[in-house]
Amino acid sequence: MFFSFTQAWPLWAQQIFYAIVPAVLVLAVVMTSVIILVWYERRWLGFLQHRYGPNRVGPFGLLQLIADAVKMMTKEDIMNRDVHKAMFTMAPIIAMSAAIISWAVIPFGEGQIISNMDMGIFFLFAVAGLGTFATIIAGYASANKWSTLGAMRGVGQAISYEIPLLFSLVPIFLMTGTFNLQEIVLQQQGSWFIWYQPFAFIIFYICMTAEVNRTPFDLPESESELVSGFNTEYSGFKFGGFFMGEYIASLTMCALITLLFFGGWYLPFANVPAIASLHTGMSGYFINPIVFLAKTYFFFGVTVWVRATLPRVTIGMLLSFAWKVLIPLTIVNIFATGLVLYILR
Amino acid sequence: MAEFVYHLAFYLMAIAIVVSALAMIFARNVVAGVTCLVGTFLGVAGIFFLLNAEFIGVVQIMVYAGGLSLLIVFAIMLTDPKDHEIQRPQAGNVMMGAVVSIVLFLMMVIAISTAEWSFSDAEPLTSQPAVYIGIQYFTTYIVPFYLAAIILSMALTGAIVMAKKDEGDEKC
Repeated sequence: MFFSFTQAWPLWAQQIFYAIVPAVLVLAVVMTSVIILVWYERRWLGFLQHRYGPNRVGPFGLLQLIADAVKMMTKEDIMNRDVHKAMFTMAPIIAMSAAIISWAVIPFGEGQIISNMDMGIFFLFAVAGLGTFATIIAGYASANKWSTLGAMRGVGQAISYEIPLLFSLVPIFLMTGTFNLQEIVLQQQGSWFIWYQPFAFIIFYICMTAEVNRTPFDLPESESELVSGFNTEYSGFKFGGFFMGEYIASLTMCALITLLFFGGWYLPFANVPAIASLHTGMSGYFINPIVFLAKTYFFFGVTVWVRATLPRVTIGMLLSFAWKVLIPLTIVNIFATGLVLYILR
Repeated sequence: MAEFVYHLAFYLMAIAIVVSALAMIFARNVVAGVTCLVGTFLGVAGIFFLLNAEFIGVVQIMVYAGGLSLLIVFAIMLTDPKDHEIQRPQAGNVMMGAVVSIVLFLMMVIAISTAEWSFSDAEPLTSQPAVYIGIQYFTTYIVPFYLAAIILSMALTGAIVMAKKDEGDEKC
């Protein structure tokens, strides 16, 4: 609708336009979100811990992140003598690009998606899984025992929690019959899937926290034991790559919670005609992304709340919890959902 | 022009595959070799996406680039790190390797260029490939599916039995 001026263009120009412009828009939204989220996390964490958080640079400390980003980019890039240079440089690039590419299949509204592929959610997990590879080569290339230990922990944690993470979503696939994220959201216009699958949501939430290495599962970089884990040797812009990659991955997982369990871009009671009309046509272009991003930010706030509340678990607790509790629970949930769907058929 | 974009994507990915495969062979460090191997896998996945085979492309990324490469790195990390930085290979071995690989390359070129390829004129499956594959698995190909399931369970049970052998010695 906005891009109707391209109709007069030749076909190849339109194709290039539609290949580049949505990607640039999504990239801009994601990068801006990272800046906002870091500020949001620090202020909200400050509130929860009864202190101020950043409040000196700009109003409410809003410009603190600009100052931090400039500092990070202009810092000296220190490289240890023993590091494997190529892999050391590649690791943050892989981490960040894996996190960004997964946004190709995330819909901001009906039709507001870069690639509306049928295997959407599998593509997302496949690409996000490459971030684990970045962790391990960062730990290996650093030539530092803390980094290697952190990387080994990170990989053990990531591959253990990837199984219940995907299994917890199988009931949703059974209910919707599709892997397409946009299709899954469209089926939630009437009522959100959280009402049908609360257990799947809880398991998914726990696994998501572990998968993106946030407290209480931030073992790959547990600063009290491993200095800073797999990114100990990193500084300056390369550290910034990991930092941004981690925030984007958290944002992706919060977006997935929104899309799969909380109705994506739909307001509550979106099947009422008055509200449903807001989501279509011209107003939908603005309301859908805003509702979606607001929900995503809300769930990011919840993860920060968890971070402020719970202490870190140990690696043994973490792994045995995944294999002995979460995986059996997800399998029970899959069978229960299948049984209910079979009876209601 | 759409043809042009398609060909551009294809040749970029082909170059990426060949370059990272060569880098994988010539990398002195084993873990660096695995990293290059991941590049090859991703390029192959890109080719699958170009061919409208979304499902196989995604599985390629998930299983090969994500899972298998991590497994290889894990296995490498269990070995002695002194073996990782290897000295230059001996000239005799290089000659032998070159002869074998040139013969193999020529054989494959001859075989591929003289083979008679059969093209299917069916439409590419663009909507809901996973649903189609699932239905095929549970109807036409149910026996191979169950066989794979039994073999996988055997492998899992075997792994557990081997891991449980020295129970009581230590707890992680």
